[in-house]
Amino acid sequence: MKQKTFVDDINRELYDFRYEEKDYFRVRSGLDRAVVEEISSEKNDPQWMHDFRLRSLEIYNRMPVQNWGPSIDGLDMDNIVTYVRPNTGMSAKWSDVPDEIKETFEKLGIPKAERQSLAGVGAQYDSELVYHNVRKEVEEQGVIYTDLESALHGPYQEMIRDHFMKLVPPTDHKFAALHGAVWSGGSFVYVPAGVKVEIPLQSYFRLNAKGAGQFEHTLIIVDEGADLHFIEGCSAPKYNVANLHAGCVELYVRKNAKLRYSTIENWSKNMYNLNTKRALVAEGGSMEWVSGSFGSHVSCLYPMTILEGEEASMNFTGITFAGEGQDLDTGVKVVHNAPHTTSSIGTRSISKSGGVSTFRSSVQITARAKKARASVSCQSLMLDEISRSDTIPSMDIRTGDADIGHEARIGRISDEAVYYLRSRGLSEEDARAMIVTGFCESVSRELPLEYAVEMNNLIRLEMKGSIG
Amino acid sequence: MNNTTNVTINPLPVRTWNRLKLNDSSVDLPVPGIYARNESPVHTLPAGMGEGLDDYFRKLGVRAEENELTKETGSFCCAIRPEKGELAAREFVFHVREGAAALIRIDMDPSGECCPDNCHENSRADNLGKEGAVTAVRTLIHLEKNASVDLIQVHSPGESDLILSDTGVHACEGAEIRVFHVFPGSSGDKDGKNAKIYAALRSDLAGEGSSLSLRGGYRLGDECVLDMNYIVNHLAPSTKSDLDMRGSLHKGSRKTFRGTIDFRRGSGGSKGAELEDVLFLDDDVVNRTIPLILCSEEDVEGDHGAAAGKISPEALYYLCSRGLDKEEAARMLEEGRIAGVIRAIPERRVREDLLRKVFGEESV
Repeated sequence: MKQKTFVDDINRELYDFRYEEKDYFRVRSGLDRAVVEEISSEKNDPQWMHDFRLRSLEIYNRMPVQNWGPSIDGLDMDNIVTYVRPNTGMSAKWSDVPDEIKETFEKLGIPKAERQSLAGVGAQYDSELVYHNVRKEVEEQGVIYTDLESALHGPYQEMIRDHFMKLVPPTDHKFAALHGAVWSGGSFVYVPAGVKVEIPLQSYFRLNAKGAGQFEHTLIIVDEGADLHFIEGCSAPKYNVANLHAGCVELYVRKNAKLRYSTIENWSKNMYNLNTKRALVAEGGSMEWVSGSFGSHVSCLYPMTILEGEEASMNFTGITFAGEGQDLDTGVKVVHNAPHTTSSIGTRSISKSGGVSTFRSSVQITARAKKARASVSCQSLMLDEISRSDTIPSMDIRTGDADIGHEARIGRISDEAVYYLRSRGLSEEDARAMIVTGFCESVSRELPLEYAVEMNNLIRLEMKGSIG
Repeated sequence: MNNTTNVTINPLPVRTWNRLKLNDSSVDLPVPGIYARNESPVHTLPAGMGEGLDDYFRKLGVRAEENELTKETGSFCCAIRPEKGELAAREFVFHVREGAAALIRIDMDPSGECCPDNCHENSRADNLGKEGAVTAVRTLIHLEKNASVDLIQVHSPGESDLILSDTGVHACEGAEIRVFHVFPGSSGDKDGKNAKIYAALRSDLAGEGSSLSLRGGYRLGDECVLDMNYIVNHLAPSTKSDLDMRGSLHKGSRKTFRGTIDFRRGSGGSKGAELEDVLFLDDDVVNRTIPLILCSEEDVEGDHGAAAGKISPEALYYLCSRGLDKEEAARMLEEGRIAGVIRAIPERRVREDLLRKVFGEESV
C-alpha cells in the first residue's frame, strides 16, 4: 500500500481575529445608483469621477457574469456592503490610529516591518486607508506615495485622470465595472525618472467587516529609468457569509524602468477574490511579478502584462496553495506587442483536502513582435485523491519570427525521491517535507527574507507520515 | 442554391477566456435538400467534434455503416473523394472484437487518385453552391478487451475543399489504439489553397491498462486552416496516453491545436503526455495552441511540452554544411515531420503506399 503524505492546511489563526464595528459608516447592502451616488458623495469625488462611477454601474448592470472559471453562485451582490468606513481619518502616525485598528496591524507585523525593512507603508482597513507614511529620504527623492483619494484632489489629479482605469477599463469584465462604480481606498505611487527606491514600499489591505466588499485601487507609475519594488499584502477574518474583494491594480513601467510587484494573498475562506492587475511596459522596461495565493474561497486572479515597447520584458513567479473549500483559479496573461520582447512564466500549485487549483494562462504574440521569446513552465502537485488540479495554458502567435516554449507537469510526490532521501538518513516525514518545501522554493527565494518567512509560516507544511 | 447551417465544433472540455476564441470553432456547412432528416441517434460513442456535428449528421440523415473486425477479418480501407461542388458525409462504426488486431485506413482525399483498397462511394449532392468539395467523416471505434487498432487517417484537401474528420474511441481492458493523423497539405503552389481541415478525436480509456498513442504530422501553406481538438479521458487505472503532434506553417496558414488529457478519479497509476512542435517557415502564419491537463486523481503523471519557432540556426548550419541550400534544408525539416508519422506505421504496405503518395516513388 502506498504511503500518503499528510499536509496540514495553512494555519490562519494569525489572521483570524476580528473587532466589532464601532460607529462605522456603512452604505446599505446591494448595488444601485443611489448607493454609488452615496459613495461618491462621501468621498467628495470630482465631477469626472462621479460620472465615471455611474457609467461603470451601467456597464456592470448590462454585462453578464463570465461563463468560464470557478462558480461564483455563492456571491450575492444584494448582500454585499460596498463601502464601510472606520471611524477615523488617515494618519501618518501609528499613535493616531484607533487602538483596535492599530492592534490589528501590530498583530500582522506591519509597523515592525515598516521600521525594519520598508521605505513606506499604506494600511487600509475596510474601505479606507487609515495609515500612510513614507520615509523622509524617499520623499526627498521626489517619490510620491499617497492614498488615491488625496491624489485625486492634489497636484497629481491630472495624472490620475489620465491613467485611472485606462489599462483596465470598466468594459474589461463585470467585476472591473463593479470596481469602477464603487472603488475606494488604495494607493498612488509615482517614482520620478532615474530614481531608484532601494527598499520596498508596501500596502496592506485588511477587510474586517462582515459581508463587505473591498475595492481598493492601486496606481503606480515608474518613470523612465526608475526602479521600484512594491509589496501588497491582504488578509481578513473568517465569517460565515461571503465577502468580496474586487480590487484593481494598474502599473505603468516607462522606458528602461523596472518594477517588481510582490503579493502575498491570504484572504479568509469566505472571500471571493476577483481582483484585476495589469501592467503596461515601455521600451526596455522590466516588469516582475511575484505572487503567492493562499487564501479565499474562490479566486480569479490573472495579472496581465502588455509589452508595448521594444525589448520590454516580463517575469512571473507564482505559487498557489488550494486547501479544503477553496477553488483558486490563478494564472497570468502576457501580450507581446513589440520586437525583441521577452517573457518568462514559472508557477507552482499544490492541491489538498478537496481544494481545486487551476492554472490558466494566455501568451499572445502579435505580428509586430518579431523575435519575441516566451517561455511558460507550470508544475502541479496533488497531495490526495479528493483534490483537483487543472492546467489551461494558451498560446496565440501571429508571427513566424518568434520562439515559444511551454512545459507543464502534474504529479504526486515521487516515491523514488522519498526513497533516496531516506537512504541519506532522513525520516519519511522529513523527506516529504523537504520535497514539498523545495517545490515552493522557486517563489520564496524571490521574496525579501521577512516575506519568505511569512510565506513559510503560511504554508506550515507539517508533514506526518501515515499509512493511508 | 442550397442552404447552409453554422455548426459549432471542436469544443474545449473546460472553457477559458472568450476573447481568445479558443473555446470552440464554428463552420458553415451545406445542407442539401435531397437529404431526409434522420431523427434517430446517429451513433453510440461520443466523438471529439461535439454535439454540433451530431446535429448536422442528423440533418443530413447520415446512417452509420457498421463493421465488425475480428482476428480473421482485421482490416478496413476506404477513400472518400467527392468531386468539386459535392458533399460526402459518412459515418463508420467499428466493433473490434476481443483480442483482434485491426488496421483501419481512411483517406479523405478529394483531389487524390485511387488507392489500392479503394471503396469509393460518396453521398452525393449536386451543386452545393461552393467552389470546393466537402468531406465529413465520423469514425467510431469500440475496442473490446485486449483488442488493438492502427487507425490511419489521411487528410488531403484540394483547393478550397473542406474536410471534417471526427473520431470517437472507447477502449476496454488492455485495449490499445495507435492513431496516425497525416495532413500532407499542399506542396508549393499546387493543390490545397484555401483548404480547411477540422480534425477531432475523443478517446475514453475505460478499461484498466488501455492505451492510446497519437502521432500527427502536418504541412500547411497557401492560406490553409487546420483546427484540431484531441481529448483523452483516463477513466480506469494504469491507462496511458501519448499525443505527439508536429508540423510546419507557411504562406498565411493558420493552425489551432487543442489537446486535453483528463485524469478522472479512479485512474490511479495512469500516465499521459502531450508534445507539440511547430516550425514557422514564413512570417504571416498564425499558431494557436491550448494544451489542457485536467486532474482529479493523485497518483498520475501528466506532462505537456510545446515548442514553436523558426528553424534553429544550428540545424540550418548543419544541413547547409552537408551541401543543402536553405530552401532544401527547410523542405527537409518540413517533410520530416510528416514522414516521421508515416514511417511509424507498423504495416509495411500502408507505410510504403503513403510515402509514395505523399513524397513520390523515390521516397520508399
